[in-house]
Amino acid sequence: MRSHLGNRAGLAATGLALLAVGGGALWLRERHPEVPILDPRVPMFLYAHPWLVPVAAVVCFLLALVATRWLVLAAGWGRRGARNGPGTATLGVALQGVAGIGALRVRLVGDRRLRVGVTCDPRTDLGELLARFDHQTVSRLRAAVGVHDAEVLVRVHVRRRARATLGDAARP
Amino acid sequence: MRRESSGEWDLERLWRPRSGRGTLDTTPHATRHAAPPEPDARVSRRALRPGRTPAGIIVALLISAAGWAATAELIWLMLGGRSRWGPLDRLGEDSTHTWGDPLVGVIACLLIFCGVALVAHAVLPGRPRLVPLTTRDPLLALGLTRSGLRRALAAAARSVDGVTGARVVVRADRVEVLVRAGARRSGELLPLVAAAVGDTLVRLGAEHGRQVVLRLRGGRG
Repeated sequence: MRSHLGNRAGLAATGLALLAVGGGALWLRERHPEVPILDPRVPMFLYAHPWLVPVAAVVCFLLALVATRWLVLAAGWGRRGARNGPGTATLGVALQGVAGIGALRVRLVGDRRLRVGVTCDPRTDLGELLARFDHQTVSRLRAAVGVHDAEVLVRVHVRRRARATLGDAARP
Repeated sequence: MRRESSGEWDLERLWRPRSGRGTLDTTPHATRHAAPPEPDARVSRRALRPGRTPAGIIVALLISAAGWAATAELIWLMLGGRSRWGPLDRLGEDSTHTWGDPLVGVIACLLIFCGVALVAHAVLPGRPRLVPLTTRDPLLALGLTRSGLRRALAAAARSVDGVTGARVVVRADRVEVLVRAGARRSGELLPLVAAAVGDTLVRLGAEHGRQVVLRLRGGRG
């Protein structure tokens, strides 16, 4: 179970490309300091090889497509997921009796990743709350969502002040 | 668990961990089955590692903008237009810049610096936004917000008789607890606060590789 690795892969590839370009420029500066950066014979070379510009355009187009896809994914497209009612209900039953739970969220992200959010009050016994996330609860949650090998990521937050919670409405 | 003396750091063991969250069942029924894996925070730590989203968005935005601009320019050239920007319109006219130009060295050093920074940003694990907690399931990751851990530990410290206030700072490698005491002697109070904070950390499963620094302020004696 790992966090999202796409950004790290893209950043590493970009960093290595920048290192290669910078290192190449320093090497050329060291070896051929008198050679002009923009050779005046380049237009003639391009005129003699007319296929070069379309190939370069296709390469730039592919690079732009890949970078745009990366941008869209990095912005969170497809990583937010959809709320799952049965999962939330199952978790609510599993956490019944724990005082001070304010909000429960279960989202299914992609095919097999579950993101669970629990918000509670300072009066909540966090040890008891976390102990409820045992093998049985997680198995029930996976069964309710319908993904039996789902990766479950639980985020627990404690509010500053106590508010009306899920259990308070049921109490007299 | 250690406490700070008035002068230099004084390491003193104030508390020993007891059984943590979800203790092992030692009944004969349980011994017939294989023992469950030991609780471990590595799964949570790996799952909660920062995704480097802001840097990813900035770099992807720059590369995609440059890629689309270059594509448009090359298509414009293919259609017979004259280059409107970039070095292509100066080809043949300006060949005075050579590789020995000082500007080339500056730009190359900048590129290398940016490359090293990006590779380091990608490779270094970084500090997670949530505090990773121990789990037994390799497909379950638990994380508690830093403010949540702060409030839980402050509540544990305040629950000790004689403590009038507590403030907690969660750092990457340690938790600092500043306790304001009433009239009780600090020598009696400190082990009690250490036990309360330590037990809470163990119950939450957040004690791994984390030192707790206690600071006592006020009180007599």
